[in-house]
Amino acid sequence: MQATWACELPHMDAILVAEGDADHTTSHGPNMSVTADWKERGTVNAYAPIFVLGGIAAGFAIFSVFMASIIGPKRYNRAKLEAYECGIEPTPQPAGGGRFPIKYYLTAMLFIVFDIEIVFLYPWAVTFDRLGMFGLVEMLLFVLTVFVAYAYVWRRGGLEWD
Amino acid sequence: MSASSVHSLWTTAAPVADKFPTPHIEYAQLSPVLIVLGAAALGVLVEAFLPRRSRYTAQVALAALGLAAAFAAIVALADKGYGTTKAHIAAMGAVAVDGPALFLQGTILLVGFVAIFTFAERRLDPRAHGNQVDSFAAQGSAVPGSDQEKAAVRAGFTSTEVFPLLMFAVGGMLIFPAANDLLTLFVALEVFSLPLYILCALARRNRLMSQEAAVKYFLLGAFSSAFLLFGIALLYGYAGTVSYSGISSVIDGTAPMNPALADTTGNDALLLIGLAMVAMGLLFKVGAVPFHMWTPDVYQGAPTPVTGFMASATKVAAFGALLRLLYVVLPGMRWDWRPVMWGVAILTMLAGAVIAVTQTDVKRLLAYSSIAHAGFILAGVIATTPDGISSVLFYLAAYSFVTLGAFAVVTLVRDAGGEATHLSRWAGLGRRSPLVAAVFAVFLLAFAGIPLTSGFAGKFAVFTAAAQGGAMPLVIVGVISSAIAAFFYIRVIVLMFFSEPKPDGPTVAVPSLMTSTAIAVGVAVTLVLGLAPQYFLDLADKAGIFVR
Amino acid sequence: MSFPLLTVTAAVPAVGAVVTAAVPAAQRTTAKYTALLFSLATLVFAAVALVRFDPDGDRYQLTESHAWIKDFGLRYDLGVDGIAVVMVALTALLIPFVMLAGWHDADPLEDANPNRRWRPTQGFFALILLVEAMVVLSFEATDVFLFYIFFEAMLIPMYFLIGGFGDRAHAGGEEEAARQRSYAAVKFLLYNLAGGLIMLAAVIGLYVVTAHQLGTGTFSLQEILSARASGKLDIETSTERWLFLGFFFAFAVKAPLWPLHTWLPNAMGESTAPVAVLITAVVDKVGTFAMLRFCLQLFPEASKWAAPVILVLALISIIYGALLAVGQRDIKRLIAYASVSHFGFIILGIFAMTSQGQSGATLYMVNHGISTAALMLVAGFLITRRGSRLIADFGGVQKVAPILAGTFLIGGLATLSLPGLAPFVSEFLVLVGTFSRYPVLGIIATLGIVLAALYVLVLYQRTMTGPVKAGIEGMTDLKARELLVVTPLIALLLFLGVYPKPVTDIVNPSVHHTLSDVHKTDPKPALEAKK
Repeated sequence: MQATWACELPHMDAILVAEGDADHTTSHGPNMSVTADWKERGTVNAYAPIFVLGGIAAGFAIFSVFMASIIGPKRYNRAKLEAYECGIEPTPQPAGGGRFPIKYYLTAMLFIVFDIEIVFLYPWAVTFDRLGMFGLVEMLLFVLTVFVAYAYVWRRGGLEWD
Repeated sequence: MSASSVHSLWTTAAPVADKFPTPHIEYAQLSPVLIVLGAAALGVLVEAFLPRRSRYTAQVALAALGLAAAFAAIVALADKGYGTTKAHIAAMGAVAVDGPALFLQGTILLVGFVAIFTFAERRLDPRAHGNQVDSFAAQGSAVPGSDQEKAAVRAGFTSTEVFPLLMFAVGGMLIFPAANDLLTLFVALEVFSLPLYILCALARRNRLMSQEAAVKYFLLGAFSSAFLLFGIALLYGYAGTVSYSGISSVIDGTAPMNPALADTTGNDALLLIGLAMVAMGLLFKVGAVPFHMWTPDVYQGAPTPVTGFMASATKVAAFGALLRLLYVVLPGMRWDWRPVMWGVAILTMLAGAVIAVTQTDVKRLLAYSSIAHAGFILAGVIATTPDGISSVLFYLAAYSFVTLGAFAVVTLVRDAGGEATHLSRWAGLGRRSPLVAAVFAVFLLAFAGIPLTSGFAGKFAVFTAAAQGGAMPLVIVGVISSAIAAFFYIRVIVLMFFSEPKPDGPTVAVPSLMTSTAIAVGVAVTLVLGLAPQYFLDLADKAGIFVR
Repeated sequence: MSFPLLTVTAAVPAVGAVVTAAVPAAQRTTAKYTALLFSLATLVFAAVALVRFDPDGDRYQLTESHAWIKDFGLRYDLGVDGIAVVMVALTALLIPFVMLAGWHDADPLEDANPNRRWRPTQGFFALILLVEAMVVLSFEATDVFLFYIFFEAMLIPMYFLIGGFGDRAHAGGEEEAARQRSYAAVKFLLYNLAGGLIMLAAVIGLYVVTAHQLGTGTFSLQEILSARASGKLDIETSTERWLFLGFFFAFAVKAPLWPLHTWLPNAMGESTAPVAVLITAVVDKVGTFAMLRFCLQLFPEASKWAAPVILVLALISIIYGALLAVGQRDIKRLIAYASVSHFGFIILGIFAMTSQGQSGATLYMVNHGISTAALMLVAGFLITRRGSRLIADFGGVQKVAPILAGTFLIGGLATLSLPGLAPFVSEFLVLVGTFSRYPVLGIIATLGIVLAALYVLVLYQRTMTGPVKAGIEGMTDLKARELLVVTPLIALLLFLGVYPKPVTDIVNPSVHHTLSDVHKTDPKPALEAKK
């Protein structure tokens, strides 16, 4: 039972041998030539795209920051020097608590809940005859769970604007 | 060119869909998850329909019952042999029901069960306007320090939503180590992460810090989720499937080709980048260096009961997922990932231990210690032997209860501003309340891996597995970082026992039966797993085989 | 199943620790007598074990063997050879004296703590019993891992004894004393923990090697030895050396061997005299004992390979410890450095790999335990009376407290190995044993004895003779309790000094076993070889 950690897993060495076997890689047919190429060129090349990707990403970041600091105009004002928090008032609120327009967020979140529900309902509606009773029950369960969220929002006053 | 031929450039005729199969779902085998999520949904309804004063009792009872029932379901499944002989993949290839999954799910459920006790504690915080309150904000949405918040506190509001949130998190954690395809993995990750983000923001004291922690956790968590998702996309491009066994057979070269993906299938660059990104996502949740930056801030800011739960249960779930990914999907790639994981493990052990030395806050100290422990567990993960799996399972079970207990003790030490987490405030605790200090010392000694505690048994199991898997250098690094780690654990003990108590020092609150139970369970597990771990080692041994 | 004598010998103090700790806070005297009773009971069982041990019988006797944690290959295997049974007896013998000497050390100060649940006295005696239990178990364990567990676990109670009940007499005042105390405790723990963790890596390595070659990993000393004798287990030379170093490092920290000794003066200086005795006479002996039992037996080839370096280090310990002792101004630190020097002798005897050397070393462990206990405890009485540890604060004590001065002198003379007192025999054996193989080392080591005479006699002269200094005038002589501590120890020193045969008879067969493990025979006397 402890000989291997995954049932059906063949012996490790067998896998490694199989990978290095030239016949084996070409046996996938012409579509696998890309892979065969990678393997024939050795493993170092397989990592090359990763380094290239990393290099491009880092290069872009460094380039942008560097160039912006050189050619960008520098005009500071109070608003610019404040912490940027997605347009919200910066977190240390004025004493006593400033206004916090939570309603918009609430509406947007509720919209997402029902939007997602529709996304799932729609394909089911197209094939509900083939899914039969199973599909109906599952969908009812799904609608029920969304309804739980709806009931919570309703009871806790989330649907009232004021 | 005819209209139809132009059209065929970007469309193909849909295959006739009359063979669309009805999915087959093994409800019985998924029952633990379903019970927990069902209880969570019920909890939301309780919030919606029950009057405020009866919610607390109902929520605590519901959550405890739900977790207990789910644990019973796990035991029943294991008893029927789903952990060993009948292990298989359920729910159309989405969820594995096998030994590691059941073991880890059982651990998570027990951790969750004990965590409920710390969540439900209402004796520690002084009464607010005559109402017993817990460690959670009166009203999460009220701006800290605002009139609205004061009104909420005066009205005696409490956030009983924490219990459904906890249950949702547990539900996601149950699926995470059992997920058998990458999409289920991702969904499970989000299901347990989102409630944790919210829980982190709900501290009653130090609300700004708590919210900061939550935002930090959320942003970095979202970032790592994005990495994970990108990695999943690349792996799909590589293998043409998201199922674990499918990907591993493509890696082995035994899978049939999907002609639609012929251009990308088998492109090793996709595999390597995808693997790296998925691993990053998981290592973030584990808290391994260099993806550990969130840990100290989040552990410090979050309400302490949440920290305890998060530190133990998340680690269990995330290591479970990591194990399954590396052992089921990528055994054929182990020569590629092992060197990288070696590096990560060494960095994690050393950085966690070294940085912890300079910490002055108990919660941050425990956070860095948890990073170091993640490194020790990684050493076992790297072993790639059956012993590696079982030792990691055992370590996780042992570690999570020590952590839970340690954070429960942290909730007890208080002054006027709530919990007194700065280390200097703990000076002389052993003189004021010998029992609490002694219990905390037991947990610290277990963290340090002193013999006769569970920490030692776990460490020995993991290091032995690593040594047998040929990773002796890792063991040596592990031993050295254990020695460094011992320094700061001991420092806390020195502080508690050998320093004179300060006149204005914190008091130790007398907890209700709830927290006392949680701490007692922690101590009991620490000692039992330290003195007589054989039964649990056997259990972990039996559970140490993944289904593919 | 026969009576598990060894388990009981260890279980009695362990149970005693729990019982003592449970005594209500107000009943301090009850707690003290409870602890003393348990330590005396332990002594009885240890004496029974000593009597029932047959020197000509099996190598390991009174054995017990039970599975503990199968997955780790950990077994609860106990057994004693001649060396172990003597060490167990020594431990059991010294603990009651330690308790008696420290009878009032842990009495809470009047205004110390308002908390009713603060019970330092109970804690102090319970911790001593706990240390005793763990030390006894580590002498008895024949499973390497079992030994490791207690070797490591005993640090924790020891640490609390040093840090929690240290010497309050300090030139810098109460606060400075507390700071020094916790520094010493942490230093003690970190040194030993680091050593122990390095050993853990070696223990895991041993497991991997045995698992690889024997199929199942084992830590059983007998199993490993027989597997090696039959050729089933053949540890590669380089592996053996690494494993040896891992084990030896831990034991050298504990023993302590130069340059890993620096924790000892701090620990002994800052703790109370009885705890200092516990450290140097009991706990540290586990280190030298483990070198004999584990380093030599498990890794004979590596031991021979490392012996020259270790011998040089031991020699440095002897000379360096003695030189620093000469220069000390603090009585307890002086005794600590003297101990470093003496541990050098013990290690010299062990690694000279001759039968005289090793039986001398074993005997040395016993004698050093008794003589240091005598000297340190009397020094403790002296320091408590004056409230200072500095030599300069004393003078002319022999005029005021002649019995105290007399016992101090005997303890000191034993420390410098005066013929007629017990340590002389062992030191002589060690030197002879070393000389027969390494004449140069033997000659240099003799220098240690000269220096010992210097620091002991100078210490006596400065503190006891001369005009009576201020602060000494009213000094009382030894009380009944203190005499009860000192007299038996001095009697033992005299008895073993003239008639060491009872101990050597038990020890010698085991030493021969160990030597045959290392495949070393005694070198032929030079005269005989010339014939």
